[in-house]
Amino acid sequence: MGAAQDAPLARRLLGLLDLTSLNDADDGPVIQALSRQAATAAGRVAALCTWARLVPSAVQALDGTGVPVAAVANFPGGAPDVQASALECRQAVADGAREVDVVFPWRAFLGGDRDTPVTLVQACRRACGPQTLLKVILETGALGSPAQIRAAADLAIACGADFLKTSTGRLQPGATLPAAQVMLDALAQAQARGVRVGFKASGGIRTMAEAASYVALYEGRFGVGSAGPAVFRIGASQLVRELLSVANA
Amino acid sequence: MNTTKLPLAMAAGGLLAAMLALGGCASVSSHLPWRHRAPPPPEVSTALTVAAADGSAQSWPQFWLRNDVVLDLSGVAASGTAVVMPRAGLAWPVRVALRVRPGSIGAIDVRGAQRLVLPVPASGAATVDLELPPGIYVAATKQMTLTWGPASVPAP
Repeated sequence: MGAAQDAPLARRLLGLLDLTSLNDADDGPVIQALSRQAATAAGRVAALCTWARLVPSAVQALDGTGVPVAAVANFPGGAPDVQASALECRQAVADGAREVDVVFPWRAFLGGDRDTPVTLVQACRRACGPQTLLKVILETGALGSPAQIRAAADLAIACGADFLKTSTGRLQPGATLPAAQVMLDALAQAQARGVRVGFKASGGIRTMAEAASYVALYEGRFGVGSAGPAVFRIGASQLVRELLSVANA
Repeated sequence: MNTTKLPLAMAAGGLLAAMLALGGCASVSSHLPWRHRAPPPPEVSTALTVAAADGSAQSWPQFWLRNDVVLDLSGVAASGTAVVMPRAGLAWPVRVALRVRPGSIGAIDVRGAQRLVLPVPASGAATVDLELPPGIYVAATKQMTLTWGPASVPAP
């Protein structure tokens, strides 16, 4: 990809992108530099995703752009730490985040503990309040089997997730199409009950072609044109360069 | 012209040309030792204040890593006590970790809302970050007392 005829697709993907930087040593200047890619003549991204402590820097840098700030919580480990996760959510929202991506306590879940994942997601839901999007990162690569992915997805939806997200990007494999398919099955069943939950693919998505494959998968399930930023996101840190390059071709 | 030195000169020239060519290739040059970029220094934190047992202020390094405040104990004496509290006007950071050097001390006794003894690895990587688990401090906790020593459980 990269030809001028791909420019409309690049601009569309740009609008679905959660522009992300979650390096261990990120600081205010890093986020300010990243923010300059968030809203350009080619369009604006869906959100900018950073650490909770850097939300004030991001909010300030994105002032006037209309790009919301997303913060991560319980990231990247997915510890069974309800109190700290909820506190990170509260802190992020108080500082101006409009979206929170919280890591599902997948180790506890795999160990057979259902109470902690339920308590943690519900606590984060309460901490975010009704106006803040809550995305739950399942870490599908660690959950492994389709049955575990499906069970975790159903649990997160039942506890109030607005989005299901595949991966933190810190473990291999990150996002995969088969795991995404299982998550979309859960979303479709929820939608049949009148519960609309979005989908975010993240973890190792580096090219426009990879991003487009997730859009195609989603739209194969929910209809052509259904993948808008209210229900579909791509989380990536490197992808923005290719999208901007192609969009501006 | 000294013809015996010509092959050596050509080989050296060829090696230089190859190095310059590699250096110009972006995908390779980042792996070359003279192009290796050092990681940026971590952002300095001022979220916590540290005082010795006698109340005198201590200037332990502290910095942000991910969403954690890391308090660096890698340079402390083999035993000692210190009091850690949030900087005036601030709440406790959500996550706090203690950076230690394996083998330099045996354990750290942490007393806040709860008590916890953190064993320090006897050997291993240059430094290790020990994240404090939930409940060691809460919003109402005024301070945490750290006591460390060579034994696995330092004397209180």
